[in-house]
Amino acid sequence: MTKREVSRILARASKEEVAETASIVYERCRVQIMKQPQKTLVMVKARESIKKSLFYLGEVLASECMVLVDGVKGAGMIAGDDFEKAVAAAVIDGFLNLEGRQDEKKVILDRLLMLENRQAEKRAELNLAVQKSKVNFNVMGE
Amino acid sequence: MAYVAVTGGREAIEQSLKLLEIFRDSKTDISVSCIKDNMGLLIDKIMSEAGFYSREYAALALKQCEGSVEEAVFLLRAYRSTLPRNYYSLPVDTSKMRLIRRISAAFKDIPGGQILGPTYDYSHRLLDFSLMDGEENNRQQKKKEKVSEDTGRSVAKEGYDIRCGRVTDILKKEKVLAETEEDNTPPFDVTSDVLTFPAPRSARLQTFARSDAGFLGGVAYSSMRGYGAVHPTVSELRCGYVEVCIPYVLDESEEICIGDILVTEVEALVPSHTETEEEFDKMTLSGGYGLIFGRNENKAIAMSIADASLETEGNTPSQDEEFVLTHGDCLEMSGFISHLKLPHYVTFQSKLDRVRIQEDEQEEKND
Repeated sequence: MTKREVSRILARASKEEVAETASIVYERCRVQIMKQPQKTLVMVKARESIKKSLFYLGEVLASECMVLVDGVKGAGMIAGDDFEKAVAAAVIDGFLNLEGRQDEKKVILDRLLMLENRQAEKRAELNLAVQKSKVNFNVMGE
Repeated sequence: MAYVAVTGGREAIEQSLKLLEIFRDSKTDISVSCIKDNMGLLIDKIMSEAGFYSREYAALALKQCEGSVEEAVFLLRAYRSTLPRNYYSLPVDTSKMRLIRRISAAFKDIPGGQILGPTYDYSHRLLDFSLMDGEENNRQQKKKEKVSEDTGRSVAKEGYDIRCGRVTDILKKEKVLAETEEDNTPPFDVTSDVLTFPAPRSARLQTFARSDAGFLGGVAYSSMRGYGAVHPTVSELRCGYVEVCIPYVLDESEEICIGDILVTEVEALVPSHTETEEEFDKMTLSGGYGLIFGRNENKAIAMSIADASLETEGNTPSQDEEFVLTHGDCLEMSGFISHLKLPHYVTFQSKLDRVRIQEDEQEEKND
């Protein structure tokens, strides 16, 4: 699973779900806060589709944190004001950055896959409702 | 005449602030989450005009200032200025947007289809009195019923994320619309640098994205009504979620996703202005672009018109770059108008003295 995939699942998960996943790491590793959680801005860059140039759309509020998990760095960055989630995400990231420990990592990765499926199911209900508003306009006289 | 400071009025100001609470006169408190969940379009408008994406804080700002849009924008901009900006995202890819709405006014049939999604466009504009008293439970019940109806279908099979290619891609393939290479010029940032004219395209688009929706609508409306040259066709309007990704801080060759944001995007097609038959024969198509935070379709369309209008030449307000880019910021606009309420005693006395002297001189002449 890539960093992008892991972080996407964590960003879409609830605070409780991320904390629960991080608790698996706390049971197994020594966790130290390296950089206290803080709020930050992320300037969103966009590429417009007409001339394909770049511009800044605006800023997103985010929470960031850095930890050491058994001496290995982990970084957490989550949109919104949620320090607990940012810390938990950093702990999970640090654990996945450790060398080896494949069996333990599998526990975390399986849980992330479960969360991803749950998120997809939740979105599927909404997607289906949206799809039902697909429209065919008919031109009069054709 | 320079500005002169005034002092005093501390107790009166304190009382004035207390009166704000007294005049709020609310018997039931409204929670931030209630505002966030029920006033989505208002939240979107505020985030867009503040240039600051946080649904929770936008709801908080609204609660604090009795629902005043300009005050809420002021609060968010002020708060945002206290935060460090430690990251810049990778360019968001709106072609991979997870769609909740997508329509085209240019083509009836588009690959992927037209999806109405949530819209008031086809609603009856009749007050729904069932919402007045205690009917909220019924509404929630109806919502639940609808979801359970949907789940009767095969959600797992049919409930896939909706993503579609762009309508303009078809026109580019046909070479009706010019294909362009990616331009990776670093964008201008109007929040950090002083805008000079002519402004780069990135400054224009950023300014429009944060503009007051009413102002931008007025600019676009004037252009369409004849004070300008742009009356476009909406090639595609899409609304949905895009991922915001940043380089991973511990290894910049990797990237992480910090979350999804809701945006509205518009591509508008503008035929070249023609007056003669020869010009008509050589008609070309160009485009205008709009992208904003949240769901605010009219603002996104207006942005695309304002963008296209600045590409045309003429003497109308919508074609005047400096006029359009310097008068649409909600905070600057309301702040400048609002300052007129503050004491101008010295400047006004000076003007009054000038008028009185002229009056006296006139009287002396008459005598």
